[in-house]
Amino acid sequence: MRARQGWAARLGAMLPGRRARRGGGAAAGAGAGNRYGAAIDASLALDQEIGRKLDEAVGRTEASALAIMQQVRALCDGSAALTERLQQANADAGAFEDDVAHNVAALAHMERFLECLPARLQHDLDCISAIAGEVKSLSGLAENVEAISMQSHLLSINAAIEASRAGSAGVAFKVVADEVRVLAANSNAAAKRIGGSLGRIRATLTEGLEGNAARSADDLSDIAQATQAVTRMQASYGRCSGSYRAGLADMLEHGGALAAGSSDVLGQLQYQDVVRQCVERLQHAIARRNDALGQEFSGAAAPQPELLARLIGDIAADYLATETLHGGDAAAHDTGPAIELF
Amino acid sequence: MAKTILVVDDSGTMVLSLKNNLEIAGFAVQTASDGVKGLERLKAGPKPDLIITDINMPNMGGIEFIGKARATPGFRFTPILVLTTESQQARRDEAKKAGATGWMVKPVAGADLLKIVKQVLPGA
Repeated sequence: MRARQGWAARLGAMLPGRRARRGGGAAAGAGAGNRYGAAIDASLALDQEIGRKLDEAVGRTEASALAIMQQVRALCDGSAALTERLQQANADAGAFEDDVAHNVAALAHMERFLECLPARLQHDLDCISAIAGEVKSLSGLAENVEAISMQSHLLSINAAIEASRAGSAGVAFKVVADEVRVLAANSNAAAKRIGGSLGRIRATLTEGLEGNAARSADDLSDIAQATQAVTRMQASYGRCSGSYRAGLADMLEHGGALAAGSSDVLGQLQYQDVVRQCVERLQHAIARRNDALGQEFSGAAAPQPELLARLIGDIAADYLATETLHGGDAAAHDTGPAIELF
Repeated sequence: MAKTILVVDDSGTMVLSLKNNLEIAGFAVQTASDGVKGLERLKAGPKPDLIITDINMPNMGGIEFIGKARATPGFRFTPILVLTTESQQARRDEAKKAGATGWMVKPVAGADLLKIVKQVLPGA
């Protein structure tokens, strides 16, 4: 912070004669100064008051500028934090979108598989139906075997009757007839068991086919609904993602504009320092003028009005020359651009 | 790693304005209120990558500070920008002779400040 010398202190240092006279109450000095003593005192008092107010104004604008800068910085920091969070959220959304795309691809693969599934199931059902047909054919063969065993049984009975009529000559033949009858009985029992087993197999296949067909229809319906739900979810996510990205882009744009605006505000607040220096140069010129007036009217020497006029003219010229050197006065001929790299 | 900039100015508003603008842009900022404290900063470290200094300051003005900074080991080529209310060519020539890299007249807009800082700090 610039160590500014107070207005009153500067005047006091420049005008020791007037301070001493005022403090001592010695108003009866020699020369022209005595006639102007009260007027100069009043003028100095006015200058002191003006200087004090100018110092206050500079102090207030400085405090205000500092407070504004702190507030702008807080706004900017908040905006930067928000932007950082938004960018993180954007990155998270990107990762989520990748996951969704991956899952949708997997579901699409599954959907293609499911589209082929009915044809595959139908093919399997056709195969099972063919097996059932073959089993039915085998059932017919078992019935044939059963009929043959029945005829063999009848044949063995007839053979046994004829063997009895033949007497002793038919004894051996009777033995054969008995064996044929046993064989026919066994064949009949085997045919019945085969027929029973084939019947149960057919029943199982038929029941399985009917149940499988019903379940497949239900499953396919569920799959179709699931696929539609995934498609709807994908579309919904697409809309949501688009809206989110648009909002994010808007917020980032506003954040950027806020940062740029804050930067400009911070730059503009530098005018406080420019004005402060301007006030200081003005105060310095007035102090020099007061010093000249004080010397002239102190009564210590004979009045020199021409010298005083020239002195004050020089002070004004110095002040104006100094002013042209500050603040980029366009009328000044020896000034360069506002920003220059050597 | 953020580039470091030393701001030397006796005005609180100027220091805070520059510090905020530069920090928001990602720079690390050191400050000093006059040339004497600026030289102490240079010697104490860490070494700044750029120096921005006022001209009219108590104790030691900007021109003298630039000359002494250039004579300080390690700061012969460090860019030094002057930021002042003065604009006359004679003063610019003095600063250039002392070793300044550039001249800016107050007030300088935030965007212009960052533009010239990036110009003299490649890679910033």
